[in-house]
Amino acid sequence: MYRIISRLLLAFTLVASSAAFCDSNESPEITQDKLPHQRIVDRSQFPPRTGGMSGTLRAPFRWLGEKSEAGMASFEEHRIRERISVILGESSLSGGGAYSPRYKLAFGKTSEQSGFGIKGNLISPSTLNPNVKMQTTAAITTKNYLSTGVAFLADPTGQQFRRVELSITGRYRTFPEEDFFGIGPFSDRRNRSSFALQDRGVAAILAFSPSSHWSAGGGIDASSQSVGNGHNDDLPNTLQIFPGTLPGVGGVQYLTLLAFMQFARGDALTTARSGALAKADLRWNRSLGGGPFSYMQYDIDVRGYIPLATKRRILALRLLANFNAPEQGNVVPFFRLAELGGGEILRGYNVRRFSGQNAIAGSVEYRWDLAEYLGAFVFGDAGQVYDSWEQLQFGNLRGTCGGGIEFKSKKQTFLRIFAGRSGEATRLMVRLGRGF
Amino acid sequence: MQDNRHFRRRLQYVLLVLICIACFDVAGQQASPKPQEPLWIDFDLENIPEPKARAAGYIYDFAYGTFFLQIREAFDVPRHARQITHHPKEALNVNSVDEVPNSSWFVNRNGRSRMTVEEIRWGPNQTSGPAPGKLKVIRGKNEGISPGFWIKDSRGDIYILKFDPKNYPEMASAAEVISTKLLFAIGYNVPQNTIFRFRSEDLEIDAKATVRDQLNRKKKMERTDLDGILDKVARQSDGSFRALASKLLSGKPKGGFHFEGVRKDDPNDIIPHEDRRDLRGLRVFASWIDHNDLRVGNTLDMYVAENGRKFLRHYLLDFGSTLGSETDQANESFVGHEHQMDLGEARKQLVTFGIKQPSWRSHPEPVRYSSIGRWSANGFDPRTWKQNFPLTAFDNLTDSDARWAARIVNSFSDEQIAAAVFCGELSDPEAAKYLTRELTLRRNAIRDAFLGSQE
Repeated sequence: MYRIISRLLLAFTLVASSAAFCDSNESPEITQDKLPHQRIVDRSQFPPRTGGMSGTLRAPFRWLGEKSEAGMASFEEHRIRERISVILGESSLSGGGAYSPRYKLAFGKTSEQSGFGIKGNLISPSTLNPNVKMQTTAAITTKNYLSTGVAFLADPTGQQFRRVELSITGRYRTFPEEDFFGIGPFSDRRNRSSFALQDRGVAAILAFSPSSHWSAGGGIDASSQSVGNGHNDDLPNTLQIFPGTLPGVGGVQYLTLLAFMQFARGDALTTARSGALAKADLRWNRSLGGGPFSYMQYDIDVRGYIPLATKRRILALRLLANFNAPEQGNVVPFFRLAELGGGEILRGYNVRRFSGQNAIAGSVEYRWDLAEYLGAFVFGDAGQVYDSWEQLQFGNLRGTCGGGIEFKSKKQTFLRIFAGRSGEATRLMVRLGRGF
Repeated sequence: MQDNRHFRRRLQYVLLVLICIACFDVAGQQASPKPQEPLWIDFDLENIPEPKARAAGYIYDFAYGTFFLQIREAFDVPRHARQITHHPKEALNVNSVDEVPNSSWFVNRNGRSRMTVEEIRWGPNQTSGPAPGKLKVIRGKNEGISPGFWIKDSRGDIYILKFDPKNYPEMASAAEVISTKLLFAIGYNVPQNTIFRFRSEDLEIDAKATVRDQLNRKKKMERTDLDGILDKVARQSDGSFRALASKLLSGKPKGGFHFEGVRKDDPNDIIPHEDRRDLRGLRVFASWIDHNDLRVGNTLDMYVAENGRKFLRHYLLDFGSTLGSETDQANESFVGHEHQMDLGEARKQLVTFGIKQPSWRSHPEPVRYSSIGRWSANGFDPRTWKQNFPLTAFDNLTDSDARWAARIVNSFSDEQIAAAVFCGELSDPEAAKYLTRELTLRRNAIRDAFLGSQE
């Protein structure tokens, strides 16, 4: 058998190389007295062709282009940068004036575990006042995650949203298949379970940006969350795995006062190739309806982007901290705890693999350009959740590492494909949008 | 018994080798020299039934060139074998003096007999642009990235008007006209492009004029729509507008041509496009003028009626992304050096972690003149020049194809180049001088790269 295969290979190689020679014709030097052979195609040698009868030569994918182009006809006005962002919903279909309605279509996720879906977004500016507009959003995903919202936006300063934005929004969202592994840094991955969450609420937020570096704001949010059985048939229900031990299982209602501040320098908000970004959020969550779930929440996110001689190679650093401080005799609902794992931090662990009252984590990424619209990155993450200061120990720190490629336009990264490795598993992840 | 088996096996090998040699010899005999008179016309203008129009889009060009083509070529074993043995597949439409005969694709012009400066200036034009008088706006422009609209002049001729970006006045329109003149003189079919100036009050909107709104719906064109377009474009100091006027091609548009295979519904199209020298050699011409945006979407097959026959004529279109222009901005530094997503270069960068950067990245050319964009002859190497997307015909370029193209490029005198640049109507004489000099230097670089000391 081996001999037959080796002979076939030998024969194939010889025939292939002779074919290579047969195809070729040495191109001689052209002089007036030495004419090379005639290479012009004699059209009579070709079989007569009638329209549409003969096959194409070496164009196996042409049909694909023709079909896809028909579907993409409406995007013809833009180049790839704009087009891809249109497809991914990062920008409106076209510029338009202040009075023109705009819609956005987006493919992506509504949350980390939602699966892929489609989102429609319609912005309807007031025909009378360019400082007022209405925004309607609806998204549904392959795992039946639903997200809908209506927002009324206004700029009381009359500067067409350049500096100030007042928004009043209503939302309704469902998360049918959320994972949960338990509370604390020592949760067991064998306790992976599934729960469903519903969230509805109304919020009023005033945000202002006094300069291009600074922005700040505050607002009020009234919300209600309820928990149910997870719809993932492959996993047990969270409520069965942790019977009677999880806070907030019966649902919660909150009135939240929030304040936030952000400082950005360089390209931190766009291409993230240089500069720094610091964000701080403060939320006072007051439980309504009598449940003992009131707490203060502090979130800090600091990022730095250091070009290594050129902006085509950068070192990206991130420090993330999430602290929750329950009021006396109160607890934080399990689905509002600080969490680590997923596609953003501690990549290599499952989503919400670790949940705890507080979390602290850091990331280091080396990113470099492979081509104009293609990049690569390697990363290392470390972090842990903890409920008390005693648990915050170096030995309890969890680490992951990995790498991948990212597709980007000049303005933004729109797709990342990467693998993350932890002590528990290696996970392959596809993420729309940029990393941190 | 054992010896007998060994003998038989050896005999089998010998026979196999002999068969291969025989095939080789037969192929050689088929290609053996047969002196003939050179043919100068490849008659592909036979009457054909009307082909279907087909769409061509950026997404197809990007996806096909970037992913399918580069990956397919990486696994093309016979192609690699030919490359290793230095026996590339030569072009098919070549006559006995190694030239390309005239066809619906290409007409020998300056390469065969030198055109006068006046002929270069006229190029493909039959008129000097839109006729004076009122211009009727008949519809908005929905194709491409530059703002514009279609007009009908007092003669009844239809033109598309395209404008320069505000930050780079004169850039795209000058690049388009200069490249039109050069490509026509080389031998390609191109539209009649002219620099055209008008005032806002010269325009009147036709009662049937339409434009697409933000939701891509067709609607009646209003004066506000027109003013909206004009607000986005550069205005001259005297308040007038400078535009590129591109005359509507005669015939019926049937979509762009591909750079490989043949068009199924065109019986005249029998030579695989990747084996057409006029398309392979276009890579050299494109490198000369940095026509980086060559792709299916920037070509057009027109179904024309001439001398009682109806057939397809193949055009190159849209030269706004040539010279230093990228239509809506100056060239990015990678233009001409890398494909937009160059998997070969990406592989190198991947394994070196991006440590080694080419000099054109670390020291990009500056934009010297806003009317030209980013462009020069510095670091220009026609052998390694790359367009935005890989094209099969370009990848098949052989030394013979390159020499053919280089001979044509080298046929352009300094005066002819200056004449083409003159048609760009650059207001800054220094910019025009610079452009002429750089074109001349790039011509010389092409000559040195492919013709060496021959010429």
